[in-house]
Amino acid sequence: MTRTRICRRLDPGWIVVLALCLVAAWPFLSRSGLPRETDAELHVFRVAELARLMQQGELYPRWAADFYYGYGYPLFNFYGPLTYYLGAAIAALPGLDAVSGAKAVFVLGIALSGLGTYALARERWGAPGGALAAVAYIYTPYLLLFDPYLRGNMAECFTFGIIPWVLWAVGRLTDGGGRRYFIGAAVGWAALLITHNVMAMLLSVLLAAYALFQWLLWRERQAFGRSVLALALGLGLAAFYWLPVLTERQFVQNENIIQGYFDFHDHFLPLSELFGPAKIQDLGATFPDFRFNIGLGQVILVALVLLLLFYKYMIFKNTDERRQTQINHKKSMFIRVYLRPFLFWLIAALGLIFLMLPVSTRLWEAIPPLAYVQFPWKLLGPLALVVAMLAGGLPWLARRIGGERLSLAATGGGILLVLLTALPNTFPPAWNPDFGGATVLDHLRFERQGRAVGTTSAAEYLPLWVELQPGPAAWLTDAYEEGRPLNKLEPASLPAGAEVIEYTHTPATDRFVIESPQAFTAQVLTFYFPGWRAWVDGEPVEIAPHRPSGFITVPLPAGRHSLELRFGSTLARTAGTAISFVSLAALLGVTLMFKSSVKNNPDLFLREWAPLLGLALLFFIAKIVVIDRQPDWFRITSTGLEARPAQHKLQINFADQVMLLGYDLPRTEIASDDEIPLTLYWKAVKPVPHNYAVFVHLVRPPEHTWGQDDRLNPADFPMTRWPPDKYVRDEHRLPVLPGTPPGEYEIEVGFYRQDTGERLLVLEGGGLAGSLRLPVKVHLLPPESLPTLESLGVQQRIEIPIGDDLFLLGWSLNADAFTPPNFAHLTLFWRAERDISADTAFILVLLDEGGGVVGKLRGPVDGFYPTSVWRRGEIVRDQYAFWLPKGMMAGRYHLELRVGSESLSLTEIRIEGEKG
Amino acid sequence: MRRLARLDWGAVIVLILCLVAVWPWLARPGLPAGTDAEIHVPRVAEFARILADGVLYPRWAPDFYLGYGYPLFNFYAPLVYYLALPFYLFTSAAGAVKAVFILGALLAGLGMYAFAQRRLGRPAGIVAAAAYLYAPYLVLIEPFVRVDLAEYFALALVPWVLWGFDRLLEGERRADMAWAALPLAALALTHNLTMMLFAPLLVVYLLLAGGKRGFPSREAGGIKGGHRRAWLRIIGSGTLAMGLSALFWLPALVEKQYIILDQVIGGGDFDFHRHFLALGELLRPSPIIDQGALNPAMAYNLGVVQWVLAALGWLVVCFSPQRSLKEEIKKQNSALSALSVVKMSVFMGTAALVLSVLTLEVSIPVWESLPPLRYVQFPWRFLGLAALPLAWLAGAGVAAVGDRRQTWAASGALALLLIGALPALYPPPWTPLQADFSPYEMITQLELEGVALGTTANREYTPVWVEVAPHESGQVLSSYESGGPVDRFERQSLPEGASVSLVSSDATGDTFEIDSPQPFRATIRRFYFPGWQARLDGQPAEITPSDPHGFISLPLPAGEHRLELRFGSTPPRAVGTVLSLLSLLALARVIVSEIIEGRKP
Repeated sequence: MTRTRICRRLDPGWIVVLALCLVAAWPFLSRSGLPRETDAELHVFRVAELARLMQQGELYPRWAADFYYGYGYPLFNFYGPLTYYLGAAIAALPGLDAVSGAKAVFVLGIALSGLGTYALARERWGAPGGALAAVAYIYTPYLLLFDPYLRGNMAECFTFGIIPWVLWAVGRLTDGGGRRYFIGAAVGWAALLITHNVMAMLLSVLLAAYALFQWLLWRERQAFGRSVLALALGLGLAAFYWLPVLTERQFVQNENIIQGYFDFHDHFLPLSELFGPAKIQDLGATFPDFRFNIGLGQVILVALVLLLLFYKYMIFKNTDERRQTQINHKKSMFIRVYLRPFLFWLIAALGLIFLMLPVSTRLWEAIPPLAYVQFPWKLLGPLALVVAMLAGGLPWLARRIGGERLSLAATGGGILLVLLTALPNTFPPAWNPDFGGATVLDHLRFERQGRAVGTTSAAEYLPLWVELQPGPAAWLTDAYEEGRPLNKLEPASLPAGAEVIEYTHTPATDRFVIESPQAFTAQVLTFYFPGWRAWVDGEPVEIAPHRPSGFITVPLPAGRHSLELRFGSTLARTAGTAISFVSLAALLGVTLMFKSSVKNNPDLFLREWAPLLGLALLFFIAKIVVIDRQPDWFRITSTGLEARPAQHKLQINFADQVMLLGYDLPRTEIASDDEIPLTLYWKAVKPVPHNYAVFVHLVRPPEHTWGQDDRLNPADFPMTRWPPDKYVRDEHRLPVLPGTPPGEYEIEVGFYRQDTGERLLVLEGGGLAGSLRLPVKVHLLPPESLPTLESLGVQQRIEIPIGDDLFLLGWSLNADAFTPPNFAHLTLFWRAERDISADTAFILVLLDEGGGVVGKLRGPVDGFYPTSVWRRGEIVRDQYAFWLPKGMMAGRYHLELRVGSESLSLTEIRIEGEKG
Repeated sequence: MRRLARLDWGAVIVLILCLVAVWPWLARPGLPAGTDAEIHVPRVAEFARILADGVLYPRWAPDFYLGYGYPLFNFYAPLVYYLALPFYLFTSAAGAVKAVFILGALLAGLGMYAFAQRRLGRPAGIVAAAAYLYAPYLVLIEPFVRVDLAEYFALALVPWVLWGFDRLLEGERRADMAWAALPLAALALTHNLTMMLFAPLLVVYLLLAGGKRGFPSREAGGIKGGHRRAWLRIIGSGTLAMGLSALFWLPALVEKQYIILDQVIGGGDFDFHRHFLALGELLRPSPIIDQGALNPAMAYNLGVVQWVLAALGWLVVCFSPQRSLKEEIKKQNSALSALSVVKMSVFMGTAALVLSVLTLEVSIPVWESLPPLRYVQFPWRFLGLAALPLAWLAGAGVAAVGDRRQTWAASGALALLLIGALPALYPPPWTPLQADFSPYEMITQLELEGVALGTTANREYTPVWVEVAPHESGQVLSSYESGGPVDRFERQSLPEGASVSLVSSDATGDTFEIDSPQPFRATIRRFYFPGWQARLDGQPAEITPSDPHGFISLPLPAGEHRLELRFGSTPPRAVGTVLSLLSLLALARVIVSEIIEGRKP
């Protein structure tokens, strides 16, 4: 599209409408500041708060941390944030502040209202009708004076600027419009939803009716489907806002706003007020006497339209008398050509007027959500658009009846009439040009004057747990005043001798390090609200809201502890956000599927790339903005004394230095010639002063070790370098000694120092125990292949048959000489010559030089693997431990194996005298 | 608008994907401690110090190995450290290493895109680029777990080499030779092992592409002058690349005999037998990483989406009716025949299979029968090279889908790749490593702490004359600590009444003034290595390495003398450098003539 074409195509009507919008917004533009007597001041404070929170890194703050005397207030969770974002964005421009930001949003809303209505009405009525409708809309008393200047309701004003555009997009879509209207309808409605929930609710009904009506009138099923899809996606796009509003409404004192003054019963309008002329304002009055009316000019224009319609109908009728045969045809012609374009707006106007009259009380009572509208006269806003659309039809009708000149006259006359009747409303009462500041201190002072605490008149978003509304806490407000970093811990909740050692505060977090001689319940002057979570020393703890103040309280044990509070997401918020992103992706996807009606689209090339480009961008945004912020998406984050991947979780304390958090033992039935895969999860409780080696033993009571795997450093990370915030995965493959008999075994783990041999003992029930047996039994199965003799490590091969069935291959002793007190470990190696049916038992005897029996042990294999189950060729390792007690005489002792009456001398054991 | 349309959106998309892949570098401070970052960061710092001393092509790292010097850069390809220098000027050594990693990711993504889209078209090119970039080995293991800068960068260059030679097979212009030679030379200057493993692949690829029916006919835009000329150009490019990089590889090969590399390689924990992968691990999806673990469980895998898409692509290309495929691919890229795509798929499929199998235990006979493979140490290194053919095949599958649906097929494949990659996009959190290392910090915090000696795990570049590894020297260490010039003259070698003073010391050598009442054998605590030359009062003097530490040692006469030690050149280094300069001239000639010819109408 070339520049000249744009210029040629630019409709001067836009400029006229924009100029008239500026006239309507003139008081904002010409006067400095904003009226503090109205809600505008609340909106300014909210803009300022949002800007502050964003500067501190909260990009979508649902929690207004500084509101309500600094106790925090879930304002943005419930109040549509769009206008505040716009205001904050404008306020961020150099030289501007929150007041200018809010003002700019007002002006922008007015401009959008006019231009949108022009766009919408021009479609149906042509440019003259469009201009008339736009003027009729923005010069409605409610939009011209009441809402912006007398109420100062920024968010609601802005919805009036959005709705014509959404209707325009939906209308275009029904007429077969392309993707930009699809996006417009979806995004527009989403914008409406996140601007002002009550007005969005009302306008949504209007919008849905409009889409339905379009379908009924034009019977374009596909087009209707598109509108519905667009609106559904719009709803989805805004889910991040409305889903938490709907589900978390139960946690605030929302009922405050439909009681007392806010009860709708007291705010119906009499017909006379609705249709009366504007009142001349006495600018000297404190609160101007405003009349809730449609606007005299608008009413006259609509009346004219109805008259002309009737007139046209009569003409049709008269001509019809002559051609009786075509009566039906003509009638339907009239309906189709003349009545149909007005029909929706007529019905809507009647419906809206009905809802503002006391006669509709029953209907209001029947539909409970309507109560949140509070004031039936709020419907004047939607009605203004409906009336404007009707009025805009005047030039169109006039042209059909009296040609171009009459149409022109109707346009000019209509606009003049509207402007003249609106004149009394163009003088809003004067306001103090000095708004004052909107800093956090200004707001705090404002709240301390008791005015609209939390920027809401009825404290309607106060968390449910706040049963008694607390006043300001002097020490907290002082900290604000002095600009000190905020320590929100209630000092009165600290027991004697306790102190807060460190604290940091951000809008969504509070961290404290507290040292206390005794356990106590810490109270933090932040209202509890779902999303607030607490951690003590990194461990999540439950928050108990204090009654009746509703403050966060957390029980703290004695000693030095860190307390962290964080305002995070809730299921509804996360789900809403997810729905929004999915809707955004779907919107992009659906948009791409649109077949553009325009041929030879210059961005054909881009369109080809769009799915891939969209996907890449979506991935980028979804990962960086959403997934990265969720600690548990596509990754896990173990904290505290938990190793989440561990198959079996434990918390075993080793000498208050290391904790065993769990272990993996993927198989508990293992062939005895295999290795046992074992992973241990360790975490240092505090910095470990020495490097310990880790051991894993396969044991069976009483004391034999059947396999072992030692590591100089667990997981090859020296323990002195273990960080206290991460656990260590220590993988072992525990080999089983060849010839170990099948059966049930246990696994023992522990640490020892390589240099001194000192062990880290397990803390058990307040006392120290030795090493740890894992609470699991390993079942060893017979080996898949028999061990070779070499692999057994036989110290002394003797190869003597014992009876008919057994063959003693040899023995091993763990030392040449022993110093009591100690164990002497003897291992015998057996082979079964055939399948053995009987149990052969024998005794191992330790004899002193004189032949006296010093020790006696029964075999084989502690009796748990009787020879009756031995199979032919099986090799069995058989361990014994002789206790050499203290005070045992030095000298040479003999080991003897006694089977039945036979005895076999095995070896000599040398016992040395005790040291020192 | 037209300008917007001319923009290659594929490249933009790939850049976005690169950005996500490097995000942990951008979002987290520093480099992970306890990884190879601990060797690359001191190397960058050392490299910069040597250059600051006026050495344009460093071979000798004077401060490494307890300050005794280490011929590191004579054997370890230096390109990544050159690339790090400009960033080092503005950030720190760690920042520079990070920047080269990010540069590598951009090169890897764009290179794979550039290579794959030539034959497969752009949507397929994006899929191939994503498959390569997000292969678990390239997106997680190499950069964030191993932090192996040189190997990662080499893997980023490999697709560019293929791109260059693919252009050469098709092109008409002489400058194409430069485009083929430059990436290959860069690869040779980046990582020896990758070059060694990739070279056979490249040769097979060229033989296949250059076979009798491999080159596209001239009508299809093939090479002017036919077969012979094509081969000449290929060989010319290869020679040019080898010539350009000769200053590195020639001395490295010839002087390898002077270091203990062959004695220590593949020993102990570095024995390849211990590092084969199980088939289940190779094919498994990337595990979810526990961010709360110091050493979370991770997998060395191909990426399940990668190998499934590649298998599908291979099946689609090889078994779809030739005719329709030919038409489809002709539409994408008319210059190359469909036959060559099928042939390429066969090559890529085979390559992927062979490279993957080499990570498995079944390949032990191959490993044992090819001795050079023991330098590879870890069979799972092949995961990096295997990622490339897999990525290409994933793209080929998309390219074989009909024209109209291709964008959607590409989107589907891309979505799968991205989702499949997500668990690998969260490397375990790391403790940032110190951003810079002075020689003193390097020696005391890394070498003496047993992290790495001379920034190598097995001290494999130690000169052979070092028969017994010496301990640290208090004298050298205190010179480092004081920050002044390092006095390495061994005072214990001085006879009674003798004195020595250090005149100067830098990366190139030392100058001492010695006054001794009697002749003696002076020892200087620098390891001897070919290239060290001594001049006594301006006259060349012969150095004999000391026994058993291999320090520079030489007899000095009595009296006042001036001793100069300089690390100079050797014949292989000189020849290599001359070859490189000549090749550079040849390259310049090719480019200049292209510019001049290109100006002709």
